[in-house]
Amino acid sequence: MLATIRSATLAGLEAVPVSVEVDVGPGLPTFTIVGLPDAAVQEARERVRAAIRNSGYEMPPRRIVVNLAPADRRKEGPALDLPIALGVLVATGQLPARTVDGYLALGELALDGALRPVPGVLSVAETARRTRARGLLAPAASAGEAAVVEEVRVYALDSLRAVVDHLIGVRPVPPAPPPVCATGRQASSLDLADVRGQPVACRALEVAAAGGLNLLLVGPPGVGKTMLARRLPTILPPLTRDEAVDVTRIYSVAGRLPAGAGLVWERPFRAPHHTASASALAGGGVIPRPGEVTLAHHGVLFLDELPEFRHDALEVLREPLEEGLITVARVHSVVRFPARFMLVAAMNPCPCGFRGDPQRSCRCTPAQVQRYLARISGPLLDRIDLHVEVPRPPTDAVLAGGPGEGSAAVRARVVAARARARDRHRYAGDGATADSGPVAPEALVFVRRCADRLVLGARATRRLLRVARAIADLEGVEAVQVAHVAEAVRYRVFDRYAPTPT
Amino acid sequence: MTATWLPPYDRPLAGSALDAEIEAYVGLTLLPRIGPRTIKAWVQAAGRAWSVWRHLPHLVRRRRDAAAIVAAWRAARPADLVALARRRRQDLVVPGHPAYPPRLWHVPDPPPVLFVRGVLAVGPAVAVVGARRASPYGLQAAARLARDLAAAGITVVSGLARGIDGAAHGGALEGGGRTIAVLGAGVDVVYPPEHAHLAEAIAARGALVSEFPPGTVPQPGHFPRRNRVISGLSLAVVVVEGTEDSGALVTVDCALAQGRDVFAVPGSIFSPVSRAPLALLRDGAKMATSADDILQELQLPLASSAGATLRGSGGAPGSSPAERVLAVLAAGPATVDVLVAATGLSPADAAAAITALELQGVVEVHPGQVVAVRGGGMHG
Repeated sequence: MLATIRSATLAGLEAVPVSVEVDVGPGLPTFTIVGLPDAAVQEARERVRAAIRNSGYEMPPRRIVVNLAPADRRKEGPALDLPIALGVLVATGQLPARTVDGYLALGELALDGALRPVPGVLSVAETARRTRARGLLAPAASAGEAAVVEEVRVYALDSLRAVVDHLIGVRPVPPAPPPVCATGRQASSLDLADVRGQPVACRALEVAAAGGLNLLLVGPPGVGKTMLARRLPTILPPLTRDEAVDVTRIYSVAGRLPAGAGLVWERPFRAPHHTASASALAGGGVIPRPGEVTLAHHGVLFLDELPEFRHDALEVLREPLEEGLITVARVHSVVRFPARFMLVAAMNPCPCGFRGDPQRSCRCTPAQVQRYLARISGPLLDRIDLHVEVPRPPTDAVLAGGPGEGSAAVRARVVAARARARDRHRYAGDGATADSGPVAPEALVFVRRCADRLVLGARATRRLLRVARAIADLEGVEAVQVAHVAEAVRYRVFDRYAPTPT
Repeated sequence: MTATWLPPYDRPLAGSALDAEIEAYVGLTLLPRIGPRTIKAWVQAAGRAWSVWRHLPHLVRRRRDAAAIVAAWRAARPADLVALARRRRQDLVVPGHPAYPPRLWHVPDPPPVLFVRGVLAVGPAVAVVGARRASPYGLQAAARLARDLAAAGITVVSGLARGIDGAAHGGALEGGGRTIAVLGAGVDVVYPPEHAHLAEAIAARGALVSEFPPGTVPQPGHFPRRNRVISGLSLAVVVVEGTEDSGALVTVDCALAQGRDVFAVPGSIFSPVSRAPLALLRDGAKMATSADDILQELQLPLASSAGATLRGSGGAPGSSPAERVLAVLAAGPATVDVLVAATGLSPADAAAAITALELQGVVEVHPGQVVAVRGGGMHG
């Protein structure tokens, strides 16, 4: 007898429908899975066999063939355990075929029949909506994220037995409620007020947050570059619901969502180590999985010790920095992942780290410093809007100084600034002038003076104006003024790190 | 002029007598195990270097290594080296040459030959030396002292190294005065390479000097020898910054052996590069906070800008952000963070004010966000 159960498998962030066809026929007892299964799917045979037996059903000693259609697409992971088990039960007449009609099912089975969470359930729920499924049978621990898709009835079930009981109406389960829109989301334990004695760096962080600009922090080891970067998400505007769904989908597919979580409401902060490979940043695998740039989508990607990163790994960043997404090409598929993040990078001012430090003397020759700075490729540096030096604060400023401004106050200004920028873009259309908006004539004269005096190229000048624009937005001023440009100049130290002719 | 202008010479040489003397001195420097002290003693005894050169086998006959020296003497072709130096437009200055500084001849081990690019006219001279890895404060102090010394007609002598040396030469040129760079390599080999432009400027407005023949590359052993020439050319040595093992202290030792005055510029007690000057001050070096401190001690006419000190004039806190920033900077360079704390300005206002001052050329910003008043004073 033949049974067909609907399920889905992941391709990038999307889930594509899969039909699980189970045929139970005469012949020697075997259990075969065809249709490009990977190793985890092959092992489903043993889990399904044990789960069926231990749930009180019968595993017939007959010839069982499972086909996963479409047969040319590679299937991955243990999420197909549940549909295979249901197919076996239907095909052996232990479960009426009409009860499973129209349902999408997925979940990993334990040997005792319990249902375990699997990655990407939110994406599967979206597929269920698209294909107008009757409902989604999902592991209880994964149902919260799936219930975000409100048009789909999601049934949270914790075992094979519970699934069958629900389907035959012995113990029906109500659809899982959509997760509470957590507007009063849990506050992060980090706060900008923790940073003492570094008003300039805090201000640069605020400007970067207001403009959604990329930031490079340059300073000796131990001055708190990482501490500053970690607090950037606390001053960024809260995630909107759509953004939260995007982030949740990514984390779900990557298998990084804590069990039972609904939506992710915190802006991601990703800090890959400088030994990370290009595919760790971009994403990879036979069936591509999101990398660090995608996990940082709508959040912050922090690269500490920037010059220590491998050259090919940094090259990966160019596409996302320009287009907000990344293309991962593999033998079987080409996948595009979203990757719109704020880049925060940190580095020492020289190989030994103490250049410009008042307390320690630097042991690097000018040539060594030049080589170190040159390790960051020009194209990457071009895409970083603010470069700010973070000097070591005097000890008394750290110990005695009162707390600076808290994250909440700064965030309020950032939200207001972003709202102004949005309005301006709406009226200006998406032209090139929208980048810096209106600029006061005397400010333009000043920009030209700075460009001459500091020898700025055209691209650096454009970046300078972008930073000035963000400052003007923070102040709530329509046109960029001289003072805004003058402040922005301070956040472009690399424009002047060129060797100084004596 | 006294009878003994530069013993044993009673007057400067010229013409063929000078050429013979130059060739003889060059020849003597080519001999193994014959150092500046020996050469000076021989010349003083014999009266002329050419005479020493001619009778060299006789002079060394009692030495155990006489054979080797005489062999080198026979093989030496001093005329070739002289021709090479002249082809490279270098002057050879030896004792008896009108440009040879008498002050230098009186040290125990004067260099027998100086290769010179530019014009070696020493006059009253002061050496300004210090650390290669100097702080912004030190660079500023060196440039400022050198500028004021040069403006007062003093020749500033230094070693063209990175850091303090470079700042001293630069300051002297800025002050419109003369400066001499003593090198540890041939004068046609500029080290460090980033000072190529500076070297050209010095050659045009002073002199590059070395006792090493053309094409000699810098070697560690050259620098201590170079340092004795720096102090030997000078009336006094000013140490601006340095660690305990700084080369500046070698120059100080030479200066003391040569009977020169030693000055030190006081630095921050927190800075590692203040250790050498502070130790010198403790040991009795004279304090230099301005060019006048030095000029007064040397009993030279004071600088025209009388009383200019390295300390700013203080300045009452003004109302504009720029004035408030300058008032804090009068006490010395500060990071922008410190300026924000000290002026009470917002980071945004402080940043804008600093940029404006920088564009006006009033302040300069160093690595590490350190802001300093240009040239070290409020009036600079």
